[in-house]
Amino acid sequence: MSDSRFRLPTGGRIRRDRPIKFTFNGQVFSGFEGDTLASALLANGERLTARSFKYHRPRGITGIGAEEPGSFVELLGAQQSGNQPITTVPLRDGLQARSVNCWPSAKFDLLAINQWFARLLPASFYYKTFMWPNWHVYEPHIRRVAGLAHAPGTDQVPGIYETRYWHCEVLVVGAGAAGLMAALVAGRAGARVLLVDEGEEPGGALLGRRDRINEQPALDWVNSATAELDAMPLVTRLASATAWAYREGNLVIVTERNPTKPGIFQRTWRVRAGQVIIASGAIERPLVFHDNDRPGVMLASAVQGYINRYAVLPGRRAVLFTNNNSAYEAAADMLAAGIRLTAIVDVRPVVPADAAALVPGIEVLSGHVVESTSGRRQLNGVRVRTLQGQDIRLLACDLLAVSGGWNPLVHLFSQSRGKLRYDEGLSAFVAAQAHQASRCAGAANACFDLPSALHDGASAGTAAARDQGFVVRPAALPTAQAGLAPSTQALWHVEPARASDKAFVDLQHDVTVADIHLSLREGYGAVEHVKRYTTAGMGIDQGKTGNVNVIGAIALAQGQPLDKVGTTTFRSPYSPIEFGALAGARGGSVFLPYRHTPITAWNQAAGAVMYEAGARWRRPGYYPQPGESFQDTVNRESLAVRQNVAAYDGSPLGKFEIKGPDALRLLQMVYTSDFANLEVGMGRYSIMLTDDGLILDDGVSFKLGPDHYLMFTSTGNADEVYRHLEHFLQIERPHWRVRITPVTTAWSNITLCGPQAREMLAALGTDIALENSAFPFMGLRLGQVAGIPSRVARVSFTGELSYEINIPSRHALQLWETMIEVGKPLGLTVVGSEANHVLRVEKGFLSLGHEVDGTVDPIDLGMGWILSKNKADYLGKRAVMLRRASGRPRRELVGLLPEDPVKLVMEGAPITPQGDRQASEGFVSACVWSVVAQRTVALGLLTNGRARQGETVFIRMKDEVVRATVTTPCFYDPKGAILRG
Amino acid sequence: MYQANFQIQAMTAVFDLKGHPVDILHRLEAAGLEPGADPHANLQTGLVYKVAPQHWLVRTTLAQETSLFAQLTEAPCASDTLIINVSDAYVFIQIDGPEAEQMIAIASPIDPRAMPVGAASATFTEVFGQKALLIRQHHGYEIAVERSYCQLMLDYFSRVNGLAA
Repeated sequence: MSDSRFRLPTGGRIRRDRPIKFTFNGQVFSGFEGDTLASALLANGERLTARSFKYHRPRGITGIGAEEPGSFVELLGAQQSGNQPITTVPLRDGLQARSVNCWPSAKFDLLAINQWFARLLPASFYYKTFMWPNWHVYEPHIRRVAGLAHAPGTDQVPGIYETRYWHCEVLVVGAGAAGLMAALVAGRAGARVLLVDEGEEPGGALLGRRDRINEQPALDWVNSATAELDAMPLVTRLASATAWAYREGNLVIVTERNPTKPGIFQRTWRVRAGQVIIASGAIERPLVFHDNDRPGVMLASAVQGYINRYAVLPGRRAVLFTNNNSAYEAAADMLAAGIRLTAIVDVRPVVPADAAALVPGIEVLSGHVVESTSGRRQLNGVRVRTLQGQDIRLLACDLLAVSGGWNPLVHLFSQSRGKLRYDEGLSAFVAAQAHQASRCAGAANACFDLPSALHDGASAGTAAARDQGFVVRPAALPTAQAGLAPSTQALWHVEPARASDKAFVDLQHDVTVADIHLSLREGYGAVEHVKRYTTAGMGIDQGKTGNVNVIGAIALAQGQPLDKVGTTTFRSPYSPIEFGALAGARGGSVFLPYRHTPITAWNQAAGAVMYEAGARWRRPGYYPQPGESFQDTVNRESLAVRQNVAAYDGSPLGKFEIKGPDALRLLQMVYTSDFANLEVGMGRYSIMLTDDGLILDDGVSFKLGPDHYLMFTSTGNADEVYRHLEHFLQIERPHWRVRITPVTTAWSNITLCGPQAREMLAALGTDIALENSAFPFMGLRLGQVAGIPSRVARVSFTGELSYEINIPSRHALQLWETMIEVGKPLGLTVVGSEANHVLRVEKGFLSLGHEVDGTVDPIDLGMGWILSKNKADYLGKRAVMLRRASGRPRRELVGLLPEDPVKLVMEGAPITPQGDRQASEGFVSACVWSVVAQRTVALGLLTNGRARQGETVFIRMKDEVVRATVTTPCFYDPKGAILRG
Repeated sequence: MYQANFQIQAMTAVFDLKGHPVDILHRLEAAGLEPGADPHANLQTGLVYKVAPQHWLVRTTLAQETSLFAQLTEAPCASDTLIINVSDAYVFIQIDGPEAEQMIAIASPIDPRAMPVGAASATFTEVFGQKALLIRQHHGYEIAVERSYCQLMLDYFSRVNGLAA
């Protein structure tokens, strides 16, 4: 176990009474509760924590929070997870982590050989190389080399993922000084407030500083503020919760990484907020110079944070490189902690006196820059010179703190489509104009010093609460001492001494200034193009530290101001989010929605093989008996229908009751057939077209009474049909007086089909006259079946005599079980959708999703007869006629008989001229073993198919070409005498 | 995990009424029913949920199904009034317990705190991605989903409450 020689004896917010052991890269270390993995490793003197993405250069810890660009780890064990910023992993007992981008280890990485070939790997090299013979030959190897963490090997996590919705009047993002103040003001006004903060404890930047509020340590005020907020019944406060996406309608998505509720691993909140206050703080920019990625180079604010929050010294001998005042406050804390500060290198020609006064006795090299660093796996010195390139000095150090100014965290604001502007004084992009009900506050609003952040937070809270209709009473603001005034001199990068020097603008993706220049030289000058050419800002860190430096480098090279260059699009997620946190409970048994009929449980108990058959209904595919193969079962069930009687659970069929003086007009408009002369108690089959004349659905509608119809639709398209009807009525014909009520689940449907269907129905007991003359094909009769009130329809999808018994769903199981018992003497067989499929193919009946694939109209299917010539108009009519007028050949429904009569052809197989590999002239829509023909039969769509009867066509399968004869698309009872009998 | 219970309710009678408000309200009045706002209404006396501008649901006990439906349809209907017995279409699931609201927050995008208590609050919304009628009650919530989705709902509630793998 390593020691903690970089841990200060006192201070910090760690629990020294709670030591923790953890493993990093196979080595056991110790830390304390309150540590992050980063702080604990620094305390143990570990500097080399990762390797870079492309060149596998040694990388250390650069930041202290979500901005970390250099060090990512893979978590192992129970909380397996990939690509976590090392700075955001809370230390816990038993934590196991390892570095990414290295093999076999970060300290000895064989892939570091990439550095020697760096000249061959400039930005976009993969667009230009590995093209012969095929990129895919190289792709797996490149991905293996370049890949980050491994995907977790299990989906088991300690607890469950949860997603939820939340509504509030004011959402405050960030629990720093401004966020807490905003939440307090809004909460005191009575608003429903949600305060979310990505830290484990509130305080934001205050946690890493030694500020004072109300003459007390600032964190005392933080504690009292959170205590007050926690006592407010309408305020909800989340810790370890990252707001990572801002969508339309003030929808902000927040993922909570460590919910307090037991049993929940991670929880995602979809928050609808009346007002959003973005108080997410600011991120310090690194400075860009040769070898600025060496372990030991760290943001000044991070150094300050490690000292004050974790009592850790990130180094013992330091140099500070800055272009602004804020670094002097960090320098003061470094000195107070005992770090030997060799010098402060300040690019500004004149350092403000109040800044210099914070570091008495320290050499300040104004007008100087750090040109480069030295060391191997860890920093051991820097090379300093004047801005003009003179007065070169070498300074020994193991820590280089850098500060290139501050970027307000405007990611969420920009995601909300708020406008940004470039502030010359701050050298940063700041929020300018909100697009939604949102506002930035505190450092996110460029109010960097504590008093102004508190004031700005209060103002934002007041404005948000008032905008939500609350009365806000003025209250005294906490007092705080003003810090140094912002004073920043932009420095986008230090000119390298040699062209081959690597000055990194994006540490995560190994993007250098030279890469930016290469992009510009190759004509990719727009900032979005530079991003894609170089991949700058496209890493896991989303370019939090690098993006503005990229923009600055472009601006410098192009000689234009940064606001002309603009920013790239800020995209969600702001920080990495686990897929499980997005899915929540939607996994396992509910991964896909499902629907059951009242008979589903019976079907399952009967051993039916169940699967979805449209519109999420789980239906029986077939009912295998012991020893039967799939084909045996389907043949048995199909023959039962053709030769005897069978029952089928048809409950999922779409059903709608339609009533009103304009009900007939509606049917006439949405269907192709003429319903004008339909009598009560009779139905008509028809086809529904889309506006562009393609088939949307088919079904039978019965007339229940004057102006009253019962419409049956397909199962799969029932919801789409309802949407279509309502859309037509609400948008196209709002003045029509007609009402539609879906009754799909109110009525279950048990279908009896086969030559003995009439006898079977009679055996069940019914008061409905069943003889053909009294109850003809396409009739609907109301009456009792087995003592249950029923609507019996005589329609057929199988080509056999068929009765669809519709009963209130509460009685469905009772009728089904009665039928099974009563049907035993008649040899009743239950059948699934596979047999139905065989029977409808034999009959040549269309099926949505097979022959109806969204490209065909009725004429294509040989159903021109269904396009009424009596009606002046119906939806899709004109489109069908226009299509015909073009004279272009169409794919038409045909029957196909494979030359090999036992050959089953895969549905969807293309038909091509001579079976060659060329553009298809059609495809096989269905192919089954026909129990009546005792051979395979198929349906297909074939160009000019009806005129090609008798022709041989060629069906391309994966390993062979199957010859088939074109025939009529009906293989059983073509005149329909049986189903009408 | 959450202190919430979910339970399928015994079947009740539900009628779907669509039509012009003058005609519908007249029928409701004739049947002794008061639309939604009546906080004292209960299942025995019949509940009226106004779910859209010209759309109501009437709910009562199964014992009163036949008689109430007859009352509602007794008078000749206006030509575009459509009254359908949809008792078999819906399953009602009761969700109660101290953390019932948490379950609704997980299941539905609606803001339940913005809903009044009782029949007046009934509204169609989305529950676990499916259309559902949501009713806020004094001690919890009731949702009505299409019968075909009942098992899916129970499955979901079990999962979010840590009761299923």
